[in-house]
Amino acid sequence: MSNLRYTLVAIRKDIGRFLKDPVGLLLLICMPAMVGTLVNLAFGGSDDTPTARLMIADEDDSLLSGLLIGAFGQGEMAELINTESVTRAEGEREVYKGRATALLVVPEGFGDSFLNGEPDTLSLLTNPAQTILPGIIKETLEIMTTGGGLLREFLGPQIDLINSESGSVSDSFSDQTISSMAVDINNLMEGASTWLFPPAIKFENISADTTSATDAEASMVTDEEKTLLWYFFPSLLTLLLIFAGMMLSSDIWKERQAGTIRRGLSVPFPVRWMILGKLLAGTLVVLTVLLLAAAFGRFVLRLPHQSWLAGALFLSLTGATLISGMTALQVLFKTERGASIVVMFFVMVMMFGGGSFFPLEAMPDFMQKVAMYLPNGWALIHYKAVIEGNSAPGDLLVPVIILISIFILSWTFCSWQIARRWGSGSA
Amino acid sequence: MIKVEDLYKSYGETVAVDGISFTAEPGRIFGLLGPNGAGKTTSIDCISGVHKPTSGRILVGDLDIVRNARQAKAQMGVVPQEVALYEEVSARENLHFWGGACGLRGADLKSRAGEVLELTGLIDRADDAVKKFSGGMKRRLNFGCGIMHRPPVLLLDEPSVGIDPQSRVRLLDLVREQASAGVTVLYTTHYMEEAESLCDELAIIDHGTILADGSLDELRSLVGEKDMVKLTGTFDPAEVSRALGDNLPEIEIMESDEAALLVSMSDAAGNLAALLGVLQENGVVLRETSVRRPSLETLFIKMTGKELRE
Repeated sequence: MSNLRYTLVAIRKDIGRFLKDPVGLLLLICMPAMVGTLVNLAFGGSDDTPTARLMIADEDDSLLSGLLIGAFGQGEMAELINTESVTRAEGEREVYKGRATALLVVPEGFGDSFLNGEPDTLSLLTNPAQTILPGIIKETLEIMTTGGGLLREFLGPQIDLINSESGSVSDSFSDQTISSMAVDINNLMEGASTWLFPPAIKFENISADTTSATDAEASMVTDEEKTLLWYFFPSLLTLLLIFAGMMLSSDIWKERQAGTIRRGLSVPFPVRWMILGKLLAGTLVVLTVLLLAAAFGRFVLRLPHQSWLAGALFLSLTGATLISGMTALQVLFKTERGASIVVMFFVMVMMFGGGSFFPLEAMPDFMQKVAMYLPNGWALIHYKAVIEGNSAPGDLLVPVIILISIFILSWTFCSWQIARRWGSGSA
Repeated sequence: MIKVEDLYKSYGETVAVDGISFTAEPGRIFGLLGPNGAGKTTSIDCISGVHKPTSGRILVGDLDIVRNARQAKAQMGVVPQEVALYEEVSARENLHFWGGACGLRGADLKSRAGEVLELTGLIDRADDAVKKFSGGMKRRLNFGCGIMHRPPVLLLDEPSVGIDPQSRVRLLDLVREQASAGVTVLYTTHYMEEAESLCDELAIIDHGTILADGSLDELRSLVGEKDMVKLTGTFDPAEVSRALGDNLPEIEIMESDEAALLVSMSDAAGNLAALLGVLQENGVVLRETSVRRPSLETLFIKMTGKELRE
């Protein structure tokens, strides 16, 4: 029998163990799901109504721009959105520093363009650390722009009349003009309730993402599609990987205490093949759970993940490397207690520093830089690039080679350490 | 056959096995009898290839365990002191894994697992999770995993620790069956009765050294026909030695200190009164007296001055 066959025997053995004791597997799935639920509740389940801080750079300063901006201060909207007039530069600074929810830029000539029936663009710069409040602002603006467009189409002749008579929307109108317009508007509104027109005003939403402008342009996932779950779901998957690494790597101590590692050292095959079987069995578990989770995200939660399958496979390989690395870390210590403390320390650092507990986008710049050097943060960045469509699955080749190399190194070290500490030294 | 020549194993400054040599023959049970920490498990670990000897030579058949580890290991079945089983899975799955780890596969693996389940009396519980088994059942399965690949050499490291007497009897019967089938059995224990009832040959080991070895008869002859008498109380060793030398010169003092006295004497039942009389005349205050018939334990006491379970 070959070493490979022995490895397959060991894989089957550990898969059998996992299936016969599903509590661990359930914990593996439930813990990230629980964290996700808690975070969703924390960000979305509070009774306190959050307030958005909307910066408005009114470069047009016309009656129309004033009406548009004033709409945010009306009724219930005023309770949700605090508006502040700023210059474009001031607004951008506030958004980039994360102190404002969004910056709305009304460009110069916006009012005249509207009156002349020419399309114009409103710019909305949003804070990516917030999801719900920018979403409300975007929805409100969409309604306003659609309404504005309808108004322009319905009342084209009347607006033209205003335009020709006053020359500027800020000037006053004659009584005759106003009464004529009122009759026309009434007639038009009665007949136009069942059909729509394309909006005459469009707005573009620019996320204050720290990724490069080129990446943002190449993204196949529109900002409108990005929800809190979109941002947090990949983080939850890496959280799952961390839990899997911690749980599956600690099994080496269970085996040691049971005496099965020692017995494994007395069989004809080198113990490294038994360890490889163990690591690969853990990898298969992670692969299965990740595929199910990623498919759940894609097809049940309808998250707009591109290349979700390639992404899930990449994360599974990351999981294999985490299991292998953490197992190597476990056997570095003489006691399970010592190993547990150190592994838990690394788990905490990865969870909070690597974007698994908070979306990377919600973390300060310096923390995002730190996250890139943590295994889960590094994997998360590559994973998100693939599911966003910012990079093709083929671009993962180098990261995959890096992961496989680390897996092999960890496995070799782990086997050598087990043989050295728990046996004769021959792995 | 197992041939151990001048086996020495140390961990830094600590010497676990200090130059032991013995030969275990096919079809016979060779026992290593000694207290906990005597070096029995380290010896088994070296023989099974788990640990590399610091020096010395171990042959399994004609194969050197260091130079031909893989082939030599294939000749051996090991039953460790721990119940080295996967408790989540069934008895059959455990047998399949450990049989597979020793090279069995396919139909042979399955039929052999069935045989072993029959042999160990676990066939009715073959598909139950091991965690539901009693201690005795786990021990039998632990044994079964060691014989899955029909090894010509079987190493058993205290396989009966912590089980009930009924299960122990059954387990020892299984070991005897293996020896009857021509398997070389090396059996370590600290239970003297177990060694006496099971082993054809014995080595008494303590502090990593073999104190005596041979067949049971040979070892018993070392003890002689004398009984061992242990007395506890308050003694003056010099005074006791003088008094016994003057009055009962046939009594041999094995061990003596201010709290205990161990002597070897013929017909303790008949001569104990004389011994106690001499001691009391010389001011000894006695608290407890025990007499042991000649046995391996008395041999162990004679050689080490302490009881096997101390």
